[in-house]
Amino acid sequence: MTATTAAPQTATTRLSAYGTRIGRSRNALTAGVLLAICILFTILSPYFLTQANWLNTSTTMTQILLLGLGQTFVIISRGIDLSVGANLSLSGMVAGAFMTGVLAPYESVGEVPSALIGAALAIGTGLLVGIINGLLIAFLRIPAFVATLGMLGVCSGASYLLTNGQSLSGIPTAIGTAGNYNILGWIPVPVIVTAIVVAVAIYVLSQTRFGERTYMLGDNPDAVVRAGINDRRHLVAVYAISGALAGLAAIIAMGRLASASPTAGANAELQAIATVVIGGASLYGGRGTIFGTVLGAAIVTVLLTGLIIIQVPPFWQVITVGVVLITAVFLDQQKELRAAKR
Amino acid sequence: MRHSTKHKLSAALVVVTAVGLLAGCSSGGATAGAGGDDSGTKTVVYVPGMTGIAFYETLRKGAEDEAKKQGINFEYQGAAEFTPAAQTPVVDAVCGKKPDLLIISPTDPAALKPAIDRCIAAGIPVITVDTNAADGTKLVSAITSDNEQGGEAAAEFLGEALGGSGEVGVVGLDAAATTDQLRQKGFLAKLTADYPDIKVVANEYAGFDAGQSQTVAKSLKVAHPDLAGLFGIVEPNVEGIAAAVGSDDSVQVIGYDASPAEVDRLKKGEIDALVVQPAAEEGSMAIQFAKAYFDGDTSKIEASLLLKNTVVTTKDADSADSQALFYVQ
Repeated sequence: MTATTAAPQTATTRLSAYGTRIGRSRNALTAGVLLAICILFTILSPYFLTQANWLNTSTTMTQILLLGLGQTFVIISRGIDLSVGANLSLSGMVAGAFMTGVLAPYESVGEVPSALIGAALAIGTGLLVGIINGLLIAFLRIPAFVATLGMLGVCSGASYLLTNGQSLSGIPTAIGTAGNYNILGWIPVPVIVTAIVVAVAIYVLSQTRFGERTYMLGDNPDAVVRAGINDRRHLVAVYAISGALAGLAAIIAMGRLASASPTAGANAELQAIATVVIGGASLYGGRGTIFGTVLGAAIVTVLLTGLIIIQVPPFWQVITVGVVLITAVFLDQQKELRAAKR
Repeated sequence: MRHSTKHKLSAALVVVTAVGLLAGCSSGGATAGAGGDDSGTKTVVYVPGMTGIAFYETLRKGAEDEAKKQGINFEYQGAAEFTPAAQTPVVDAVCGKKPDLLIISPTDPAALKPAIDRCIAAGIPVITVDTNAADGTKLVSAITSDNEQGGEAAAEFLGEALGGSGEVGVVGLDAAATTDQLRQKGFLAKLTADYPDIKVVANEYAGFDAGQSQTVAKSLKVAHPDLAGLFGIVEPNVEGIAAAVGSDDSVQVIGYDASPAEVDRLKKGEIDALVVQPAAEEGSMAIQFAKAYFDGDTSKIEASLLLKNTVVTTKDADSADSQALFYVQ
């Protein structure tokens, strides 16, 4: 690991360069694994390389990836956000309940404005949950693990409370139409939205001071404080990003299902964490890249749909995903050990 | 390296603890303020498989309405998660307050037997509804809607709709859930017996998760281009299938239960038919048996009562008979 006792600014720059360097070689490894899986599936089934599979896999991936992107910021800062799946469910249900309960039948407000109000409400709810997470962790000093686990319970319960567990199918049809529309037949709307978020996230994490400080916070929190940076405010911002992206993922989930469901984000937090870890981020903080997470999400999703397509029996599917997760982290640690010996 | 082995071990420990906590995290349901009082009014408590499910809410309403008619005090307590681990403490807490009778929908016949036996040992009579307790449990009555018959009805619908031949798939909840096992058992048995040319090409499990069910259903369509029918075992599975198939008429969709969201999709034609359980009737029968038990009129009690499910198709979704069967919110 890097020495971080030098002058703050130098340390920051060096850390960032270090993160990127490790990131690049690690991403090559992850991309190789993804490619190998795709080649194997293509050999095993004539239906793997088809338009229908691309549309299904890429749309499914957007939801997993959006949660993974937020989780990347959190994990790099040496935190964890277990509430993202439940936050997704809650954000979707808050928006759904408001649209169907207050705005319906959409004649006075209009379908599209109603959908936009719903979208804003979902992102707002997600953001609020994220800010609460951040405040609990940064100011009340509750460990991230416990704070976000608690919020998982709060959000999950609240999403069921809103409608007593019922899905809401009366949301504006514009949401379902956009969520299932493929531009030129090949590019699903959720993919465009997610691609924009990925581009912004890459910029923020690798090019801005905010990104540098996120790495620094994960690598050496004390140095951040010594450098006179407001670490608490930064932590709140990191969890707020994760929360807002869960809200955005909720809109995409709503669009795909053409309804708001309290089960939409079930167990999604574990998928998001797996995505980030397969993508090469370290749970000890200070390391990880957005591109790695994109690759990680691609691996998780391709396994999800591909194992069904090559007709692997259901229980073996779960085992395979578990083995891939462990293998990815093992290979990564071997690499790190060799690098440390050098 | 800065991170010692000890550090890593403790991190691993934290992860293990987390998995445990996650599993039990949403298990807390509020506990009943039950208890027999001296005024002579009997108290009956119903513990569903989990709260927030249209089916159980409808069963509850059927019981509640009947209890009002019979002058019985009715209470309702459940866990927020469908697992024996979450349900057992609720049962223990409810029986700790000594109600006059317990009605329960066990999440697992074997795993709930000890908790039910504890209630019986404490002098609280027990009636099971919807799902069974393991053999040898001394119940007042066991009322079930026949899950196997429901699976058979689903098979019959697909068999007829496809003219006796074609590829079909199942999207289920969890291979360990008895509800799932029985519905699939009836479904497969009926197909084998009466529709030998219908081939079940896949049985996938998507959990209690509409989004996952949608992805799985779409993948099944990709893997089997000739797929002509899909059977969803529980509501989120049905919802996911309906969203995946949409208005595609080449795939017949049959699901289980009749929540407001499912009925909405049935009317739109995204779902072609639903196997509807007699939820309200189960609840009202349980209360009628409870009343007979309190009155000492045991001749009115059937030790084992099996109620039939009804298949409602898009065509007859608007009929008054169907409306009466659909679940409440």
